[in-house]
Amino acid sequence: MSDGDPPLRLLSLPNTPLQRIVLCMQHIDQFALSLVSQRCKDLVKSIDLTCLAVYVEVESKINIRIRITDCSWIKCLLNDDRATAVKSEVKTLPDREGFAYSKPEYRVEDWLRHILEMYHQSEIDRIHLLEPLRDVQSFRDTFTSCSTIVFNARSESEAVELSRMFCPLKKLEFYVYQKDPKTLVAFRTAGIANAQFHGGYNIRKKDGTVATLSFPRYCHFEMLVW
Amino acid sequence: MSCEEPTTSPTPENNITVVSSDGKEFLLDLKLTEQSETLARLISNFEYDRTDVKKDPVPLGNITSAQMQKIIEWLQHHRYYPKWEQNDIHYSTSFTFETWVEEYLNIPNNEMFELLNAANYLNIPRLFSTICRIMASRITGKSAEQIRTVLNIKTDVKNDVYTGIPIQEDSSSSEDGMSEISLSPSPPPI
Repeated sequence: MSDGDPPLRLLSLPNTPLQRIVLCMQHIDQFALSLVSQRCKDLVKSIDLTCLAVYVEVESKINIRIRITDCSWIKCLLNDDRATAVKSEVKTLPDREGFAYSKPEYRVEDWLRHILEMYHQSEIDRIHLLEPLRDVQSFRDTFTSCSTIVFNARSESEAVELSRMFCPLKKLEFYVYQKDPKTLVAFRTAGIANAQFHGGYNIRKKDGTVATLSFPRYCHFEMLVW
Repeated sequence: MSCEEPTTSPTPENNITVVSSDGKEFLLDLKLTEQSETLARLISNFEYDRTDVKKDPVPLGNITSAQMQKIIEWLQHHRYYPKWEQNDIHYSTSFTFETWVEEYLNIPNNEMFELLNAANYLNIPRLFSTICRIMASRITGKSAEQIRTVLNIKTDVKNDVYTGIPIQEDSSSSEDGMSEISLSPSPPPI
C-alpha cells in the first residue's frame, strides 16, 4: 500500500467479508471501530462479541473494565468533567495499549450502554459506587441487573434509596458516612466503647428482639442483638 | 506447509477452462481448483474430473481477467496445500504473514477489495482469510479518530428529527465502484 493509495472502503464490502475482517481484529481495535459511527457500531455488534464480565468503579474517575477472556481485558477510564464532554481513555490489559477518545454526545451512561450493547450484556457483575454519580437513575437504566454493588452513602436513608434503586441484587455492601448517635449510644450502653457502625440490616424476632447485621470487613460480618 | 513440489502442466484430461467477465479464457489444472469450494463443487457436480465427459468452458461472470490471473497465482502457490474445508475454523488470527504473501498482497486497496470479493465468490478460504487478516492489520493500533480517517468516514448517521429515519450514511459506504458479486455462475451445458 502506498501513500497515494485510496482509502480503505471497508464498509462498501458485502457483509460476509466485512464481518470476517472485524472478527480478525484485535479486541481494542473492534472497540475503537465501534466508536467511529453508528454503522460501525452496528457492524461490531453484528459479529456477536461476548465478554465474561463487566465491572464498574465510580470514584473521581469512572472505570469500566471489560473482561473479554481470562487474560484479556479492556479498561475504559472516563473522566466526567462537568465543564466538557466525558473524556475516555481506552486501554487493553495487561498490554496497556490504547487510545484516548471523546464523544461529545456521550455521557457516562451512554458509554456504559455502548459497551453493554457491543458485548451483548445486560448485567453488570460488580459496581463500586464510591462517589456520587451525576445522574444515578440514568446510569441505573442502562442495565437490567447487577450481581454485587458496593457503595458509600451519606445517610441511612440514602443507603436505602440506593439499595432499592439497584435491586435486584445478589450481594450488597454499603457504608454510611454519618453514624446514627442513638445507635452509637446503644452500643456503648451495651459495653462496646469503640463501636464503628457501618450500617446493615435489622432483623426482628417475633418476641421483639432486634439484631443488626453489619459488615465492617469484606471477610466477616457482625450481628449485634439489642 | 509449503509448496515445494514441482508443478505439472495441465493436459486436456486434467484441466478445465474458465472464462473471465471480459471474455478471456484460462486453462486451469483440476488440482488447483481444489482450493476453491465453488470450482470444486462445480467440477464434482458436472463430473469434470472424468476423462470421458466433455468439459465446456466455465463462465466466471463476476471475475475479471486481472483478478483471475492473480487468483491463479495464489492457487499455483498453494497447489499442494490441503484442499478447501467446509466450516474451516482453524484459520489463523495472526498478523504475521510469510514473505510471499506480503509480496503477493502488496497491491492497492481497491485491487485488494476486488480480490477479496473474488476469493469470497470462489470461496477460497485460505485466500479469503489472509486478505481479511491483512485488512484487519491495517486498522490495528489505531484510535477511533484514526480509523475514521483511514476508512474515510466523514459523517455519522443522523436521524431525521420527524421520522427518526437515517438521512446520512458513512461516506465510504455511499461510494460506488465496488463490484457486486452475489450470483453463482450459470452452469455450463453438458
